Amino acid sequence: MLPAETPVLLALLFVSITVTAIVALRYALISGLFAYVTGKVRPGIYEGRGKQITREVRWSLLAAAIYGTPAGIVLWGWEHRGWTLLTADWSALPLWYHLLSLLIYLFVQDTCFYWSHRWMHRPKWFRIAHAVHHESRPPTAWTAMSFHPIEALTGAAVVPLLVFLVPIHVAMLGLVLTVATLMGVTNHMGWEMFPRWLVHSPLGNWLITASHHERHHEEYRCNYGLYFRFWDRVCGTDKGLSARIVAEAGHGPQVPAR
Amino acid sequence: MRVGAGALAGIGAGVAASLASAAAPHNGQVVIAVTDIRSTKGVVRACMTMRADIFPKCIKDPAAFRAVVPASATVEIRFAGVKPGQYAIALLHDENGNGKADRAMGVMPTEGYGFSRDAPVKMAPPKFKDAVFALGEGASRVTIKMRYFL
Repeated sequence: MLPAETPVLLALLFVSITVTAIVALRYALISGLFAYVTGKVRPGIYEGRGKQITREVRWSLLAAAIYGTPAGIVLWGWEHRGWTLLTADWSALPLWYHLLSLLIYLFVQDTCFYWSHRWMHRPKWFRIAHAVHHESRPPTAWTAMSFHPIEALTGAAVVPLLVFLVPIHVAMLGLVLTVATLMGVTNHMGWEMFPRWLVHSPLGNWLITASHHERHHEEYRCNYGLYFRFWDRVCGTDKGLSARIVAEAGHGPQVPAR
Repeated sequence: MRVGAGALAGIGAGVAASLASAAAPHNGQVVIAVTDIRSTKGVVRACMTMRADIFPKCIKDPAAFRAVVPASATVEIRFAGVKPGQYAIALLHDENGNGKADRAMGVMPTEGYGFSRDAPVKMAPPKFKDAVFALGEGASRVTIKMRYFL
C-alpha cells in the first residue's frame, strides 16, 4: 500500500489521516442516512435543531480523528510489522469461533462502556468528559459520535487493544464495527425502528435499542449500557424504556377498541 | 595459403555460434504444487511473471507464463522453457470460472488466492518483492498454499 521506504513516522501520519477520513465518512453516511429516514418517518422532529446538529457534527469529526488514529496505527502494524491477532485467513479459526469472536468483542466493548460511562456520570467527570454528549437534548442521528475528546479516548482505545488480545478475522471485525455504528446511530435518533415483537420480548429485555437509550438521555443516572442490558440489570441501574419513545412507536399496552 | 572468403566466413560463424551456446543458460522448469484447495469447483488459474510493476495482475504481462487447470484437492502446474531469473507466482481459485477474483461488497475476496513464498495477504495483495524467488536451470518445485479470506 505505502512504498516500503516510507519513513515510519510519515507512514503513521498517513494511515492516521486515512482512517480518520474513513471514520468521518462512515459517520456522515450512516448518520446522514438515518437522519434522512427520520425526516420521512418522524417529519419535523429535528426542526429548528440546526445549531445542536452543527455542534454534534463538529464534535463527531474531532472524535473521528481520535478513533481513526489508533485504528490506523494498529492496521499499519498488522500489515507491516505482524502485530495483533487479526487474520485474513478464514480457515485459521474454526467456524464456531468466528461467531464467538463477534460476541466477545461486543460484550467486552459493552462492559468497558458500561463502567466508564457510569464513571463519567459522577459529577466531576461528567463536567469534564461527558457533558458535551448530553448537550444533545434530545439526541439525534448525529449524536452518535458527539463526544468530548476525553470521552472519545475511552471509547477509541477498546478495539485497538482487543485485537492484540483476542483473535478475530478481519471480516468479523468489520461486522463488530458495523454493529457499533448502526446501533450507535439508531439508539440516538429519537424513535424506535425495531418492531414491538422484538423490543418487548424476552430478547428485547436484554438488548439496548432507542427505547432504552433515550431514557438514559432523559434521566441520566440510569441505563448506562451500550448493546446489552446485562450490566444495568445486574447492577440495578436499568430503569426500563422511555415512555415517550414507546408511545410514539405505538408499542404501548394495546387497549382494546370499545 | 589461400583460404576462400566463404570458408573464412564459415569458420567465423562457427566460432561465433559455439561462443554463443557456451554463454546461453539452459532453460529450467518449475512444478507448482498447490495445496489446501477447498473445493473441486471451477479452475485454478496460475501465472508467473518477472515484472514487479504489474504483479499480481499477470494479465498485463504478455510474456508471463499462464496455466488454467480444473480445481481438485491438489493441483500441479508445470511451466517449462523458463529462462533462469527472478519470478513471482500468483494463483486464483476461480470457483465460478468467470476469470475474475470475485469480491464481496467490492473489497472482500470470496475466492481463493495463493502466492509464491506464501507471501502474506492482509489488506492488499503482496508486493512482488515479498513473493519473488529465483529460478535456475534444471527443475524446481515450489509449493503454494491456497488461502481463502471468506
